[in-house]
Amino acid sequence: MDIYEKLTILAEAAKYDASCSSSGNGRTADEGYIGASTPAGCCHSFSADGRCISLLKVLMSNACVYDCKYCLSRRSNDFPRATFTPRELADLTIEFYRRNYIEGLFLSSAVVGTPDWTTEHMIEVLRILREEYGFAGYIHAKAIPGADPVLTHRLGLLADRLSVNIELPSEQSLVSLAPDKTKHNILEPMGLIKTGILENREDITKYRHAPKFVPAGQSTQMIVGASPETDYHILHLTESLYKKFGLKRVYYSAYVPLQEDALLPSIDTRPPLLREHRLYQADWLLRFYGFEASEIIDPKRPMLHPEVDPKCSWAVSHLDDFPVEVNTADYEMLLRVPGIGVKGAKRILAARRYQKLDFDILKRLGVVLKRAKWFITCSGKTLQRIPDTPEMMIWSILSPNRMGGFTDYGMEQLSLFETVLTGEDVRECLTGEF
Amino acid sequence: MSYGGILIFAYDGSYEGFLSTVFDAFLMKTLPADIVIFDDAEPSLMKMHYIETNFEHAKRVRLGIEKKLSTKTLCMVEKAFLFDGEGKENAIMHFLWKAFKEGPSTGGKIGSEEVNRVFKMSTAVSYEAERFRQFTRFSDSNGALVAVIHPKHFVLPLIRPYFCNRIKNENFLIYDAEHGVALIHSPEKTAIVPIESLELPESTDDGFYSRLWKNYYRHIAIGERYNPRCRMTHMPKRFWQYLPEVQEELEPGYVPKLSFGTAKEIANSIRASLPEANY
Ligand code: SF4
Repeated sequence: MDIYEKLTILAEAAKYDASCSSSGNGRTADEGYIGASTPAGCCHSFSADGRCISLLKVLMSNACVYDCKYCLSRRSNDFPRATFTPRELADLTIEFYRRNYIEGLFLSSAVVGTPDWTTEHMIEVLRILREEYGFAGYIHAKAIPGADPVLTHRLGLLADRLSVNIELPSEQSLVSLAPDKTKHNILEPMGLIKTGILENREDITKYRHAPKFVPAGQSTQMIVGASPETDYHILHLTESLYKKFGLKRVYYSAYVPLQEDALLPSIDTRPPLLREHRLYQADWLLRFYGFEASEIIDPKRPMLHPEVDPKCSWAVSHLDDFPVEVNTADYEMLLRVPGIGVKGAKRILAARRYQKLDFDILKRLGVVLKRAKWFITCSGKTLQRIPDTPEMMIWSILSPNRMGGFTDYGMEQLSLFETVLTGEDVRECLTGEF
Repeated sequence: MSYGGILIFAYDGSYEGFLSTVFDAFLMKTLPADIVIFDDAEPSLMKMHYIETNFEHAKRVRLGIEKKLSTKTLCMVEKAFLFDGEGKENAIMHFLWKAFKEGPSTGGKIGSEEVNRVFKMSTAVSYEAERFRQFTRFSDSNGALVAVIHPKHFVLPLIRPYFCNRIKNENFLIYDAEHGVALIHSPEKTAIVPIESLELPESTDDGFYSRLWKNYYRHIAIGERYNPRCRMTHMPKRFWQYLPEVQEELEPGYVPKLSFGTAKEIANSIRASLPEANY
């Protein structure tokens, strides 16, 4: 089988992975070698579904011995199978890289034979890239649950980022949908990587040239909508993953049904994109806005509001804390204003040191007032009178374009090729300015 | 200090030339009514002051900005100067005039109009540079990499470190056809040089890797999530000309080719698209 065919099959099998980020670490190649990565990362393309393509995201092999019910590559599917040789994949990475198609490689794999064999094969790809080709581009590798910790460690010395997919948000779902996997063999490598990173940090302060272990940190991903867990459950799980394992990112992947199974949502279920989007917004609140999961969601209403983003939702149920005076409010409070993001809040802080801010100046600073105007004052002046009740508030905010084109939650079905998320929504999600 | 509005300054269009202009303005304590480039200077009733580029003056201005204002301010001014549009010299001159009067914090007063204009220009240039870090594509011609770009602003100096870092072991050329300059790099040497025109050599790898890339691009999208509007926000159409992966979508009558559906449907469509039948 030639490389064109392998790439077709193994890209197809890798596409459900949400992450494609190349951020978190800086490296430069030695003289005469190729590659560099920058902490900010870089998206080189966007696929037809609007997702960033930063890395060559492929499986090393899709010949899986496991049988996870939700997965395209499961053993019992009648599906074309392919496996890259390490050399093929390393060469392909370099050739794409030098043409400026990608920032590096995101290497994942089905379990071929055993977790150990799979990991060894992956290590060989990374070894060729790093040691033979001196490649300093970005590499994200999947740690395979059940592999020998020594192998996982070796993988982590070659990669920038490692991730172990938590797959499903609860142990029960794992048992029923991914029968070959267990909570234990997912959390074990996660713990190992966490400890590895902490020890490595100490080593580096002691010996300057200690090899770096997973310098861009670890991440994980879970499928949303294949199993019955609520957003309440998912957000608390996310919070504890950040706290317990020091993860850099938790990714959510809206479940795309691939097969009929009594344990799975029916085959014509549409991927819950809006839900995924709201979860990402909530995740931003946890990571950058100083929110706790318990502020964003409560067990009595365990799903995020479909029509209002989680920050707005929080704000309308805390109307007593508003309006906020932009000339005096502290950074934390500015961040809690719907429509003001990290960038906006920082610009406000910088600019107000020199002059009193009014609404025109805010506009000049690039602060979008569409949302924010309901929640702020400039030297006591308002642009919009705050409605008295949360319900009226939501109505006023939403009325110009209710629904925003979203299609899940039982709204009218648009055709398959209709836009589901607006560019604005996705930009918000990527930049966190909401 | 004499009042602006009587003099027009003319310089050669180079960065050093512009800094020399700044030097003269401060020396003469005169804010010029306008700043133009020799070549495009139209006959005018106002008095013209011709400025010869003086590297010593330029250096002093650069140091002055860095020391008396801040490195950040210098950086913003340098980026703003790469802006390709009417009135950039005036905007920067007015900003510097204000900044030297009001001190090092001026660069941060982005709420004020003079500062905001320069800030906006520098942000626009940064935006454009970032797009060309993302969307420049090379093709391989006998082992050398070549790319042509048409940026709105003069971004080569800004994207230079990015490319010279990541592919420092390669010979490459990025031709800015809009501004008639090229970034030329070999492992030994890098330079930005003016070039009148350029015949692009044919790619010699027979488009093998660009075909692989196009195929990859097609199969990495999830059909059920098709979202052209979102893609367009991140990858505006004016960049598509550089991207092999979307070329066929530019052809009239293009119908999206996406794989979606059940595992079985995906398997069948893959089998149908691949020549071998024996998987
Ligand atoms: S282990 Fe499970 S999820 Fe991973 S490729 Fe195999 S079947 Fe799919």
